[in-house]
Amino acid sequence: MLPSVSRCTRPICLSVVRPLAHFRPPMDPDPNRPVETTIRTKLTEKFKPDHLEVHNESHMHAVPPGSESHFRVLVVSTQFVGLPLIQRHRLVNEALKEELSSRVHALAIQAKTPEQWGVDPALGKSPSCMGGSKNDRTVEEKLKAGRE
Amino acid sequence: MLWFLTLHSPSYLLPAGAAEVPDLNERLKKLINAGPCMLFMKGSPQEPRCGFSRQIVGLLKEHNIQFSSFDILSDEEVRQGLKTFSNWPTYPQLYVNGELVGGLDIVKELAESGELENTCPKAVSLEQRLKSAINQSPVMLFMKGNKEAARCGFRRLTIPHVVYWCFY
Repeated sequence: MLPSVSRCTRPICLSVVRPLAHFRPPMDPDPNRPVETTIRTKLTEKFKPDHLEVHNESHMHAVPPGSESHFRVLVVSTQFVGLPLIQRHRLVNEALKEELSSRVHALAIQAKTPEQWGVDPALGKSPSCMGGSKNDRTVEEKLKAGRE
Repeated sequence: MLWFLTLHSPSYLLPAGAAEVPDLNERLKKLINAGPCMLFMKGSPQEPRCGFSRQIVGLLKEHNIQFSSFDILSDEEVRQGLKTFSNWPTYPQLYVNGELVGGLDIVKELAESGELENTCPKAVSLEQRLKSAINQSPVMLFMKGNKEAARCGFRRLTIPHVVYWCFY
């Protein structure tokens, strides 16, 4: 089901017009993706975001299929207003502290204010894997923690 | 010309003949201050072993940033210790003057906004180094050895008659 697209007829448009090219379907909690669900829940509770995206990018890395070890998150929240980038990222890291110390090996973060998101509503792109996770004991431990 | 100094093992930080391993936090403090711009990454700038590390190296080179690097895969104690020390859970990590700037995401955004050059020290080209050296003083002598111990007969003839600074 496509979301409705609000159109603004005023010369200065304050609402965000999202062309279909940027459409990303809403991500419902999935019992088969517990880590993703937890991340989404925690970020929603902490930041009350205007917009939130949680992407499992584990399939892009040298880990078994179905892993939940590498994520990219996009959080758009008024709580980031006035904060430098490093502080925004620290807040996200803090919210996901437990996951980062146990099951999540990599977390790419975009933390934007609603105004910044309005100017540039684009999801970043992660670089291609160079196989760094293969034979990495730290990654193996996190994958094991995810399975347990 | 871009310079980067790669540190694979922190053994150079141990004083000669030291019997005890220095406190980890002290080691880490010295490491993050080993250069004005320090990148803690997987692998080396010449051979990154992770896509995120490769991309951050690419960004720093693209913006002519001079940096030193440390391969966290070469030292598990530093790898885990630095995460706790800086309260930052992932790599790569970029430090400037001992302060954490952030990881790839932050460096990318700084590069896009044009702030990266202001945040990090720029590499000095050989041409700039030479220009700086020859202009250090009104009279500059580039010689072998130094004033006190000139290592060539030609220099020994010159020294008594000229007041100068030398670069050797």
